[in-house]
Amino acid sequence: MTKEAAFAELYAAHYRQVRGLCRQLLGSTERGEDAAQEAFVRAYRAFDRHDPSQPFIAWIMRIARNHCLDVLRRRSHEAKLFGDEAVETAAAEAPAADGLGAALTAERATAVNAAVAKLPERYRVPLALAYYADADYDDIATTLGITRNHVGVLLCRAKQLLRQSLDDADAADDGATAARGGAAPMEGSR
Amino acid sequence: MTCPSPVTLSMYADGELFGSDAAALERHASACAACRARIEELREESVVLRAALRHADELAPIPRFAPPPRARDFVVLALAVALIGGFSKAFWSTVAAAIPTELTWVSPLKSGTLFERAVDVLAFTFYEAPTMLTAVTNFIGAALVLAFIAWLALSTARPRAFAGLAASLLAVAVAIGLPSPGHALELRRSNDAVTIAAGETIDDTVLVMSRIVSVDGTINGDLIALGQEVTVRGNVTGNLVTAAQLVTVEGTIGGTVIGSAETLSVTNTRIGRDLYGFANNIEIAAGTNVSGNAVTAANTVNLDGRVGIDFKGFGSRLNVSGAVEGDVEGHADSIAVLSTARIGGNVTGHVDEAGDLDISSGAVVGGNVDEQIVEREERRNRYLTVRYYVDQIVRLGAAFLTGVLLLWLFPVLRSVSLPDATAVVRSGAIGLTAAVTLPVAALILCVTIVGLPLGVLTFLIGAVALYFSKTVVAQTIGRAILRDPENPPHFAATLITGLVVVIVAVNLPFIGGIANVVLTLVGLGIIVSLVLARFNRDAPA
Repeated sequence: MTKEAAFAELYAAHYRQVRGLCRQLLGSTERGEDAAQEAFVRAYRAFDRHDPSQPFIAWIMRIARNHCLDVLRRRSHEAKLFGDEAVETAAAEAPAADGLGAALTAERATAVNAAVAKLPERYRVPLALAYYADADYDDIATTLGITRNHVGVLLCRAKQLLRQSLDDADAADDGATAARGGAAPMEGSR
Repeated sequence: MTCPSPVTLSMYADGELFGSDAAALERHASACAACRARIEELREESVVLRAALRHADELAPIPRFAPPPRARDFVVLALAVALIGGFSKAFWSTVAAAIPTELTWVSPLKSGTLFERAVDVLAFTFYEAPTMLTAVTNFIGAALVLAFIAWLALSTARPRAFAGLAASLLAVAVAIGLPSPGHALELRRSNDAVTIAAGETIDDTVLVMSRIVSVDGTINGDLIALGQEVTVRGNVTGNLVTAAQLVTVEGTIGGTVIGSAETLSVTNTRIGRDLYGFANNIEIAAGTNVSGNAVTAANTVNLDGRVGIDFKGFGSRLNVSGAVEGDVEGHADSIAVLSTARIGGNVTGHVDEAGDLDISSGAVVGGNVDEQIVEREERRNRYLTVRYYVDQIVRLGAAFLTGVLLLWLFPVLRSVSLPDATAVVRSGAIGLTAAVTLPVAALILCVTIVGLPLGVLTFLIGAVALYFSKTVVAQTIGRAILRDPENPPHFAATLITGLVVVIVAVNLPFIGGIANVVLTLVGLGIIVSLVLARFNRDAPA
């Protein structure tokens, strides 16, 4: 099998997963698709150097992750992309922050994805790495250049905001009966 | 006892709390039902979250993977430009060689001078509209620069946002760079007949396409008329460009007449500038006055009118019975200057044999009469000269080198095959269709002023495809000869084998010309089929 054919097969098998990671890291489907293409282009260029005994998916996901983080860093004007650990910890442990809510249910996948897309970058990125790319805290901490504890704080905060966002969407739906269809206004919850 | 912080619970639920921290939390949880429930909730939540995040991409469409442009692509661009320049001459002579002798008169390619004349016509068109020339040159230059920038942008920045930006910039630049027509254009089309009546006056460039075109009125601008029968009896202040089976001009043309027809008949017409005629028969009847030059390429030309400057004729019979103020130059089988003729300058005839240039006794020639015998190569037995074989070896070498390059650049061409006679015939038919339609399409593009660069480009692409058509066939033949499924031969080996066969075939006496045409058309067909297949595959992606 030629290089092109072999690569095309891997592309077809893993495109969706890579696209998903990029979409969540970058917070937009379109940017995610571009980044996924770019990741595959980079992989294609470096394909000769890929060790076939290693799983391709891990390799391409790593390439995609690095590319997306590069994009985010380039785009960001803030020096501290992931906020201040102490400030985030205070926010996560504020009395009203961890309010319960059975907001996250399987039927609400679309709403959950919309809410994730609207999360600020500093929460969305670790969330995607932890729950989509299945990276552990140490890995995320190294990748993002923050402490392990900071990762835990950001993830806790991300889920809090997600719950609030989905609760707010429910409230809006109930109140106005407006068929806004699960889009969650995040502004009120921050 | 205070409960652990939400962060600690979240980390524990994620399985990321270790050592004494984890032990402390577990001690607390064994006594605190609320915290136990919370940890359970968090674990369920993360399962749901993982599923939800995966859900959105499960049905996402998979776009076609576009491999990154490589340096090879730029080589293609650069080579295309170089090859077009370098091989157009070889191409013209190949095509000229492929045309049977009886039809040589229709081939403007047979005569190098005539080809130059065609270039003159183009140059003349440019001269007529210098602004257009500038615009076109700028356009081509800008397009090349933009193409280069776009290629650079696309190869360095893959994201679609950049590609989209580059494409829109290109589109805007093209829209700005496009040469705009000098003035308004009136377009008339009909399937049957278009008549511009005697009283009618149009102050525009007029483009008429119809089966029968009759112009009796006045056109203050250029007239471009395409049809089966075109008759111009009125007054055109600008140029007349026409292509039809039968073209009759009996009016007043302020500018230049460029006519292409089976029969071009000019009677009692005043032409303010030059006359360029391409036809089977051209009649320039008495009473016609061409103020500038007359240039004709036709089987038979009868010049009975007056030409203000020079007359140049290419064809098989030239009969001059009118008045030419300047020189007469003819390339023909026979040139007759009849007794009524009045030539102000020299008469030069390029003919095959002495006596083919005949000056009747009553004719008046102001300058010299010069009969030049054209040495035609095919009159000698070419197979007896060493030069011929050297030429063929050089040709084989050149074809091999360009062919290897072609197959290296387009690997898809290495594996084309024609499994049976039907495939050969089909490819030939496709090739013939392409050979007929491409020049027509290019001509139509050229006629519309805006399309001129596109038209020229179409010609050039067609020329390149024609040049490589025999290479593609040679590769197919070579593969058939050296077929070995176990150990496929290298494409260079199959190519050289096929090229030897092809070059021998096209040099066979008597049937070589036909072999040349057939091989060229089959190869062109293969190329066109491949291009079409590629488009069809790309379209639905």
